[in-house]
Amino acid sequence: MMAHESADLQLEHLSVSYGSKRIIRDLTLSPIKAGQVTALVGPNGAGKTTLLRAIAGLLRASGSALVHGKNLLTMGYGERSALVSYMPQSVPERVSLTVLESVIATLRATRRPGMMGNAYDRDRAISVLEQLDITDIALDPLDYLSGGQRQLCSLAQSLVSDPSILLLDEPTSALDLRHQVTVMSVVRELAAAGKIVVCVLHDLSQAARWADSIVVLNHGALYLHGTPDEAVTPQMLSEVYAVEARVESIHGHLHVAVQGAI
Amino acid sequence: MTDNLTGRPLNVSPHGASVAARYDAFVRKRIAICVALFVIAVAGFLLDLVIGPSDLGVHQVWAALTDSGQASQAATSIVWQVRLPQACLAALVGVALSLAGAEMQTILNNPLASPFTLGVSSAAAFGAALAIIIGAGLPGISQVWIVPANAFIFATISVMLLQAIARVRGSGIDTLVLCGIALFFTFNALTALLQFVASQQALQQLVFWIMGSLARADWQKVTVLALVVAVVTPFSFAASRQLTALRLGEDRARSAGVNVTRLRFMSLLRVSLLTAAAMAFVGTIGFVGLAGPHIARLLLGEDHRFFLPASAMTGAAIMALASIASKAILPGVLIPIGIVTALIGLPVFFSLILRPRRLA
Repeated sequence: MMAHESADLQLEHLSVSYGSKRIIRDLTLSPIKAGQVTALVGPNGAGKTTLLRAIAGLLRASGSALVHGKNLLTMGYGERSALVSYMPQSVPERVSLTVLESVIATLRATRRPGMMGNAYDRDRAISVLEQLDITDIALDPLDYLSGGQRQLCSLAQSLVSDPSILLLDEPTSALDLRHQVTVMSVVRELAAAGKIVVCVLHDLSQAARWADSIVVLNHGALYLHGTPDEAVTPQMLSEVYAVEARVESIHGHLHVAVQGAI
Repeated sequence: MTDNLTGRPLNVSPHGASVAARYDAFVRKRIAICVALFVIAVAGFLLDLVIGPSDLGVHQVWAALTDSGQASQAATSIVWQVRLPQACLAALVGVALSLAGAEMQTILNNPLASPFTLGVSSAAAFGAALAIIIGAGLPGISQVWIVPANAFIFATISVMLLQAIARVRGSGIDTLVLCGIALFFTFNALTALLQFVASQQALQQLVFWIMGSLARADWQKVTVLALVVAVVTPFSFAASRQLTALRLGEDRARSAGVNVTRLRFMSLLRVSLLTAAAMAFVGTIGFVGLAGPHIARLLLGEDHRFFLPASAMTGAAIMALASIASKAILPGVLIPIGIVTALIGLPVFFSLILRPRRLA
């Protein structure tokens, strides 16, 4: 494969503005590798969600996000949706659909060539629910779900079309420990299958535990892009998060112990 | 079966297969509900034909309908010139307004959205008022059509205004809803202003128009509305998958490949055609566009493949029942249907929204 047609995601000179306010400023990253889990971290307002939404084509952005030599930012709706899936941070309330219906609805939102019939869509949706271990709520209306169940349902919606790029905005923020592990294991499996997976995570210990590489954003610009060992350091925590913290390695995993604000 | 997206086999476990079976049963139930609503709407329509001030029996109505030669001249004329056009118009108006309300509630993500609450009816009323009180209308339109034409034009203008607001970059859906409410008050005030200067006779005519009535039904109006419904409905149904996806949030829908801006534009276009055409002929009928979709949603959820047809059927049924009641409450008096719709629909509506919620 030629270098410029890499399967990795290459962000170059990416900028996003809301009105006159620039959220992401001329961001260029070393390639986000296919087959790896990349964690996107940073303090509130650093531009993490904005960056994910820009890559997903949900915001107007300048610059480029190249995969296989194609720019995601300028792609048509249909082409991009076959390639990229974005999992929003929040899930709407008051929706009279069951979990399974919502997952099938996402799969069938647009007619894609080669799409098979209703039974295929149903079985594909059920297989994703099985993957996330939530078949027991398959026929529950979204209205009745807890926040965590809704988040799992939203993740199922993101996975069902089997996109090669997954952009997950805080996929585990509402989950209990057990489901955090389930979700992050699934995320790792998806990466292992060759996908590009970018997760916004707030818990740095979790990011260090599950991600292969970590992108630290601060004020809409890159602070650092490296391995967990390189990224999660007391220096980064004080410079980016303005906290005094120790980083300890327990059984080979990094843990952040915050001591106080600076 | 293999997974055509990944090439891997689709592994549905025995447990997964049981979920699939339950889902299939669930879908069959929704189809059954749609069919039941259709049957109710048709039954309502037929009952609407049978009931009226002139005391025709079922046999006479049937004889007149089938033109078997056994019906009297009067019966034939009543059925064909009065009851059938009125019943058809009632059903079509129900379908049009309820479908428009359903689409509006989805694209504006607001359960209170309806042609009535967002000022479309008020705009239609203002158009009618212009015609009735000032006699202002488009040149070249015959006197008979001037009121419906004006109502149609202003209803369309109001939706186009909403449309224009939606196109302004950065204005959210809530802004759109607020603007609709502002339109509601603006057009009501303008109509009131016209009423203030109107002659006694024109005022009475306008009040009657605003109350909503099927008394003006004729075959021309039925044909025009039937055409509008027949043209618009397939586009509505064709958008059902995208509309369902939109219920999962704008980001989710767009990420799944839905061009939400275009979907909203096309949907508002359909809404404007349906409501403008319906209101032009019968006046302002408020309740159907709000209650029809709500009843449908409570019965079978928001998968728009079922939700849209069910809303249409519910709307037709509500209108048929309202039409029956408008003739039956006071024998010999045709109460304006706009009044009856709300009175008939309310108990049903309340019993549904206040019922204890149960799991599907």
